[in-house]
Amino acid sequence: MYSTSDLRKGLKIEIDGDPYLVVEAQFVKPGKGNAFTRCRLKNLATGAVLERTYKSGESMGKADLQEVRMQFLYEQDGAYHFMNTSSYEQVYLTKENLGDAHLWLLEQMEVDIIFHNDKAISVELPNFVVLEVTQADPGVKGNTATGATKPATLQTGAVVQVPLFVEQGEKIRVDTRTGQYLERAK
Amino acid sequence: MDASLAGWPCFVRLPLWSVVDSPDTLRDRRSLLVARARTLREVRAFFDSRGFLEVETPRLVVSPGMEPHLHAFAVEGQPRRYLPTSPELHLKRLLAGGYERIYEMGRVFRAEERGQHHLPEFTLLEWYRAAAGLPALMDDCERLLRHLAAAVAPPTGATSVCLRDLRVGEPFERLTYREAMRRHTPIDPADFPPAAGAAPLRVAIAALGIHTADDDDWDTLVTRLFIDRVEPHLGRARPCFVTEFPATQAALARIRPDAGWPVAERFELYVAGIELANAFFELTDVEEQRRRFVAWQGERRRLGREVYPIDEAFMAALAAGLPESAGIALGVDRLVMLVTGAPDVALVVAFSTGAA
Repeated sequence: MYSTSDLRKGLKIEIDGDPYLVVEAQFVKPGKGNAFTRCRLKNLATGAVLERTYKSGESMGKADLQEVRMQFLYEQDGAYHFMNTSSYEQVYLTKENLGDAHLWLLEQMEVDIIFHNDKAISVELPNFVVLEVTQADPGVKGNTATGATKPATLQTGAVVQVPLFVEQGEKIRVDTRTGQYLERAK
Repeated sequence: MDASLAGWPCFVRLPLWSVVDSPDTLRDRRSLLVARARTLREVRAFFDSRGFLEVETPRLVVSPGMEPHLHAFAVEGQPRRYLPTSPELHLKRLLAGGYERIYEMGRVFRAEERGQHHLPEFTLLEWYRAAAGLPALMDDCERLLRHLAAAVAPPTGATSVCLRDLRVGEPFERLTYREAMRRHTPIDPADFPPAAGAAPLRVAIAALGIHTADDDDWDTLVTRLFIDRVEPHLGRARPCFVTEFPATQAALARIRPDAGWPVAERFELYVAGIELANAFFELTDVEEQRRRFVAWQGERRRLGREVYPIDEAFMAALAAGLPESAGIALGVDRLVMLVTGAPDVALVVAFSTGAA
């Protein structure tokens, strides 16, 4: 069990059987009476955000979480299948489990699958992925305004804003945490 | 980097000010420390010019304060002493000795308190007026904050709310505890009086989606509602006095036995959602005082906490006669935060991580 003095950003706790990540924790002490810790928590299985305030001395369960390196195989009917390449064990996650992560998953990509009580609940992507632009309008000649962008569709179906010089068929590096274009890749 | 602070989003956006006390960050914090020194000077000038006498009370005390949720640092030695959590008992002894307007600005110590607005060692300003009530202290607060907003310029690079951003020139807002609750929540606490027990209030609060624990008492429940739904909104446009707290949160204030909803004669001053000061119309009844101290000792025992002794020199002063008086405690580090627009109290003191 954890106590309120353990509450800080990054701690993983369990509430009503669900694993949560502490996104923010703030110590609060009113003029008179108990101390409290005000927390912003993210449900690791659904991504839902929960605000909860704990009284000093309350306890909370430890979330039993494990990360296992797996390869993304394919998506079928909203189920995303992954395989452990050493044990050949396979699991799948739903689009709800993945949240925005489904936008960046490419077949054969290596990712960390997060297990809670031995059940796959979520995925941890690499911070940067390289994906091919499958559709982008040609840059308009003469438009040299700095910072001008256009939408580009990537091979996973994700649409990102890219500089005008990026063309269809090129590969680009994207930050999976923000969904932003970083640079052209070889 | 202090691990307990690593999570605060304000620091991510704050390359300018860091909470690490290294030579480089101390250099960066210079403008804040200069503003702090100026603030302390202006506070003293404010009280000196109004006929208050600056006094100093001991840092080694027999009893560090009796409230069940304040935890002191003990000092081993012969005899064993404590570092004070507040100077109030000694300041009241001075009131009983005939000093009518006094103030003290000094360090106090509270174990287990660290957060954006808390340091375990911090500077507390307390001032007392004999033959006066809470309105005189409210007037002092308004004038003091107006004076500081005019006299101390915030350094450039402020990222949080500054006193100067608020309408301090107008009369501060005044809300009773019930009014503040009714404004920001669907609950009127007087509909759930402490006498009815914790259960009905627990149901009402849980229905708002607020987390409760099985062992929450009435005060804890009502405080959960207050800190989650009310406090963040208080004093946003101009500073706000919250008055008439529930009698169960009276501390050392008198209780006014209004029918059905007895209230404590105290107020708290909120500025930009931050509790800055806490004032009492002082309890002068020695019997009632002893009853409260003994009850708090029992509560500390129940919580498994060290039980602090009653300061009998203070009780003797109370028995000899404390004049009708009002007193207030104001957090100076928070005040400097608000004057400078710094987002954490650790940024407005030179050294904080050693104490964390």
